[in-house]
Amino acid sequence: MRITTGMIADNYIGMLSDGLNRLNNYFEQMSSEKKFSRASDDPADAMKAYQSLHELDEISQYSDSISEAKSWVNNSESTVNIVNEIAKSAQETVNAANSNATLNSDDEKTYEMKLEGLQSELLQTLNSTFSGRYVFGGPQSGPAPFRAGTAAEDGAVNDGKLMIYNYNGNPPSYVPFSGINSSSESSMSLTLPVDVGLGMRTDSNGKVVAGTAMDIQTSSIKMLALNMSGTGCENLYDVIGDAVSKLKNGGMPDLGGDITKLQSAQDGILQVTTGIGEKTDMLDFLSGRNDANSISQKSRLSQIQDVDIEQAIMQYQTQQEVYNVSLSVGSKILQKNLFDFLE
Amino acid sequence: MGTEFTGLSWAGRALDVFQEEISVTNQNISNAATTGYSRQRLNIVSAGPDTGGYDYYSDVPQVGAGVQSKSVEQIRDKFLDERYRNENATKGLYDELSDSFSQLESVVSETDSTDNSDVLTGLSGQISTLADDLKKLQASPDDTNIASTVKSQMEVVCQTVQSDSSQLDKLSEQIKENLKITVNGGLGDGGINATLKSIGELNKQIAGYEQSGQSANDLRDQRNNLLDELSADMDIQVTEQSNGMVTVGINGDSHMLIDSGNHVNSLQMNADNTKVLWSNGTEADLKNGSVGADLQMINGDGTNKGSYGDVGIPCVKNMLDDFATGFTAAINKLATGNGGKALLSATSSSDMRISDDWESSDSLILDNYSGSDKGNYIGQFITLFSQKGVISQNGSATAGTIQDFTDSISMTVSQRYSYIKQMDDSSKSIVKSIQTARSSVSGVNLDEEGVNLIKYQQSYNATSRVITVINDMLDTLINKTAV
Repeated sequence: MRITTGMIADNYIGMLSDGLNRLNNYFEQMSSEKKFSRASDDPADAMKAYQSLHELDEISQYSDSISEAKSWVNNSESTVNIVNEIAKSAQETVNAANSNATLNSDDEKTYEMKLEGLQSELLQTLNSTFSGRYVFGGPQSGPAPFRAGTAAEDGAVNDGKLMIYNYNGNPPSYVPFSGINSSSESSMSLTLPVDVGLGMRTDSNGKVVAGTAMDIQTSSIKMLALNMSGTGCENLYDVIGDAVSKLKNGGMPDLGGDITKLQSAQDGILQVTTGIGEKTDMLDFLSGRNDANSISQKSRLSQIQDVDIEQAIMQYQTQQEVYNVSLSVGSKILQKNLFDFLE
Repeated sequence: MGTEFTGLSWAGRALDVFQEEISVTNQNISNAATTGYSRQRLNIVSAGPDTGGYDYYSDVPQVGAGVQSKSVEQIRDKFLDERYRNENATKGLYDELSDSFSQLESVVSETDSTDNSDVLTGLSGQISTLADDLKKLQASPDDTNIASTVKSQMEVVCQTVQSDSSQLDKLSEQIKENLKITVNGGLGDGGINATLKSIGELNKQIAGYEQSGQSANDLRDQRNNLLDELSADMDIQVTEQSNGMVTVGINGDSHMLIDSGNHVNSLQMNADNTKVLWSNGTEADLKNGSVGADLQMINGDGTNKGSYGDVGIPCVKNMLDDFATGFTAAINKLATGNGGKALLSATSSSDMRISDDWESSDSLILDNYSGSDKGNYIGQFITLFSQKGVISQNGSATAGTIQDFTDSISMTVSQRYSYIKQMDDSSKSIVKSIQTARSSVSGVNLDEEGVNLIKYQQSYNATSRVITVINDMLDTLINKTAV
C-alpha cells in the first residue's frame, strides 16, 4: 500500500490522542477508586451498584429504627418493673395491716396513707412519657391514658376508680377500667408498628399486617386487668382502693381477698415483662442480622465498582511510559524526507 | 524522416514537457498539506512518427516525434469517495448523539462523576431519603419535627423533578438552535444551504471549464471538500453527470438537493424548529448525519424504533411526567382517604410541588388522620414504596416499584449512551481506515515527488545536451562544410 506523508501524520495524531485518552481514563480510575465514573461507561454494573446502594440505604435506616425501638422497649420494661414494685409494696402493706393483731385507728391511718400514696404513684407511673408519647398509649399532646374517676365527671359509682381513655372509641372518651370485658379488650388495644425489615405490608383496610412489622406498644390492659370475664374485670388500682376503703371503715377488716388479688396482679405483670423480654431478644437478633447484611452489601458494592488500586497505578505508569515513547519516536519519523538528503 | 530542424523542434517540445512536469511536481509539493488535495499527474505520451501525408507503409525506418503532454489529471478514487461519504454520515450521527447524550446523562444522572461517596444524589436517591424519613415518622408518629422533615424532603423531591424537567427543556432549546444554525447558518449565511449554493456555483464553473476538454482539478478538489463536509451532516448521494456537474440527493428521499439542472433546493426549519422541511413544505427524511442526530434528540419519544422512536429528550421528559402525576396521585389517594387534604399537586413534571394546604401547615400529613392508629396510617405511606405498579407509563402500570421507575429514568439514558459510545468508536475507526485508503491513493508522498523532480531535471539536462549536439551538427553542416 502506498504510504503518504499525510497518512503518517494523521496516524500519529490519532495514536497520540488514543494514548492520552487511555491515560486520562486510568487517572480517573486512580483518583475516584471506581471502575467507572459514569453509568454509561458500564450500564450493567451501574444497575447492580444502584441496587446495592438502595439496599445499603434501607439497611442503615432499619438500623436506626431498631435502636429507636430498643430504647422504647427498654423504657417500657423499666416502667413495668416500677408497677411491679408498687404491687409488691402494696401487697406487703396490706399483709402487714391484715396480720396486725393490734390494729388501731392510728395504725389504720398510717396504712391508708401509705396505700393511697402507692395509688397515686401508680397513676403517675401509668401516665409516664418517653420520647413524646405516653408509654401506655396516645400522643403526648392528647389526654393522658389514665385518671382517677370523680363523682362529678363519671358518676358516683366510678368515684375513685381507675378510668382509662379509649383512644379508639367513637368519640374517644374516658371509660371505667372495670367495664373492659373480654370482647371489648381487642377493640381498645393500641399498636405502635415499626418497620424493622420484616417486609412490612398493609392490608386493604390500611392496617399493618401482623408479623410484618414490630409492634413495640406495651398493653396496659394486659398488665393491669385481673379476673377478666365476659362482663368486666378488676385491676390493681381498684384493688388497692378497695383495701383503703376497707381500712377507712374501721374495725378489723379481712383483707385476705385483696392480698390474693395483689399476688395474682404481680403474676399478670410478670407475664407482660416476659413478653417485653421476647421483644428485646427479637430486636437484638434483628440488629445483629442487619449488621451482617450491611457488611455483605458493602463488600458486594465494593466488588462491583471499586477498582484494584495497585492495578490501576501500574496501568497508569505503563501507559505514561508508552505515551512518552510514542512522542519521541513519532517526532523522529516525521522529520526526514528525501529533500533533506538531496544536494 | 524529417529535416535536422525537426529534431530541434522535437527537443524543444520535450523541454516544454519536462518544464510542465516540474510545474506539476511543484504544485503537488506546495499542496502536500492541503486538505482534500488529490495529487496531479501530467499525462504524457510519446508522439508517433510524422508520416508527412503518407500512410504507415514505408520502407524507411520511422522514428517517433518526441513527447507530448495530453492533460493534467488528478488521482482520485470515486468509489472510495462514495464509501467515505456514507460512513461519514454514520459517524456524524453518532458524534452528535454522543455530545448530546453526555449532556442528557448529566441532567438525570444519579451519581456525580466527581464524587467519591456511595450516595445516590439524583431523583432515586431523594426518594430513598423520603422513605427513610417516613419510617422515622412511623416510629414516633406524633413528633411534629419529624413531620416537618418529611415535608422538607418531599419539597426536595418536587424541586428535583422540576429542575430536571426545566434542564431538559433548556437542552432541547439549545439543540433546536444548533440545528437551525446547521441548516441555515448563523445570521442567515453559512450552514447547509450556503454549502449547497457554493456547490452549485462550483458545478457551473467546472462545467464551463471542462468544455474545453481539460479537467478542472482544483475546482473539483474544492467541490469534493464541500461534499465531504455536507456528508457529515446528512446522508447524501452524489452522482456525477457527463457535463461534470454533480447532482446531490438524500438517501431515502426522492427530492434532490441539487438536481440535474443545477437548481439548488434549500432546506428550511418548521415553525418550532422540530422538523426540517423542503421548500414545498414536505418533511425531509433525515435519519443519518448530525442533522439526524439533532432531530432524534428533539423528537425521540422511545415508543417504537425507526422514525424518531429512539431515546430522546421527549422520552425522558415523558417518564418524568409519568412519575410526577403517578406519584402525586398515589400520595394524595392515601392522604385524602380519611377525609384529609391533598399533599401534592402536579399536572406534569414542570409544576410538581407540595399543595397549598401542606405549605401552610407543616404537619398536614399527620393532621389528615384523626384516628389513634397513626403508626398504621404512616405505615401505608411506607408500603407505597415497596408496592409494584404504582407508577404508570404510557397508560399501563409498570412492573416495578417507584424506585425501580426512577432508576430506569437514568438507566434508560445511560444504556443508550453506552451503545452510542460503542457505535461512535467503531464508526470513527471505519471512517479513519477509509480516509487512510483515500490518502494512500490521492495523497502526496514527498519522497516520490523528490525522485520525480530529479528524474525530470535529469531528463531536462539530457535534452539540453541533445539540443547542443544537434546545434553542433548543424553548425558543422552549415558553417564548416564546403566553405
